[in-house]
Amino acid sequence: MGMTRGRRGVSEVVATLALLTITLVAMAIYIQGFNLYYSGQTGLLSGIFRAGSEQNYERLSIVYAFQNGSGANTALYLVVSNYGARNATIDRVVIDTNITSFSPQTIPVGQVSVIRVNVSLSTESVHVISLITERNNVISAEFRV
Amino acid sequence: MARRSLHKDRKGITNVIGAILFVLAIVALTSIIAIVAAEYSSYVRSADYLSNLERERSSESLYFTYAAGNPLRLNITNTCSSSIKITQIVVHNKTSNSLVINPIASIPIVLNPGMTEYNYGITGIDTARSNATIMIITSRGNAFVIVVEGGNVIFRN
Repeated sequence: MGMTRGRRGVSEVVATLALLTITLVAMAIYIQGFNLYYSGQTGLLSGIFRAGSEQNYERLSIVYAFQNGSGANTALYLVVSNYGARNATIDRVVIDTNITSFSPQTIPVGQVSVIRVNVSLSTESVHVISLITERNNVISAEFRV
Repeated sequence: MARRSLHKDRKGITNVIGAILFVLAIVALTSIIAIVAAEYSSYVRSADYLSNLERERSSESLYFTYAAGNPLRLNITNTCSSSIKITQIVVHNKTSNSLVINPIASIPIVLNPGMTEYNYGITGIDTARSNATIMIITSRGNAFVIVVEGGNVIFRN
């Protein structure tokens, strides 16, 4: 009788421990699944932070611009340096508010690449050249070609 | 009597349901908070990376002096307080109408503060005959421009 009375609280302790264990395991599984499922998404609050940090790691600079060729073969050449910590894909090139036809080009980390844009610009005026990347960074510079 | 016994048997069910709901609520809330906190902390780290990089980038400074003409040779001194790594050289040779990235094999060059690289040669550029724009590009994305035109070498010090 005495022994039974002494063990009365054991089941409550065991139940609490079991509850804690179940909670922690469920949390771990949930977090891992959540991360895996939403790793490419940007719609959620965590996705917004993730996209923001990826934008911060992507750094490009327009080093030089010049125009070459004649007639229909005239093209604008942009020398772009990737000094960030992520490979950067340039999606669009906007020149003086005009979106030019351009096929996306990736610049690896630490590399300098030449981008050819089929456009003919006036040599008399200053032009604003903007590069828009896949991560929605915008790199703008003013140039006279 | 039988009704009373049945009622007595079902007494603990609400407790179990309550515990399950409690566990579910705790798991959902804490998990979401943990994920958002982790992402926010990685965002703060990236912002810190960005501000450090841009601060170092804006403080980069190279001092050029002319050494020889054919091929063009320069003495390059690091005049800022952090090391500079020259990773690329871009030469737009307007005489031959060509654009060459990395005409020499000796890069990258690391210059510690106050260090000078003597007789740094730019292949293919003859000062007396070439018209060219040369860009010395660093690992932090800065471009130091040297213009060779009409027998003169122009750089901003």
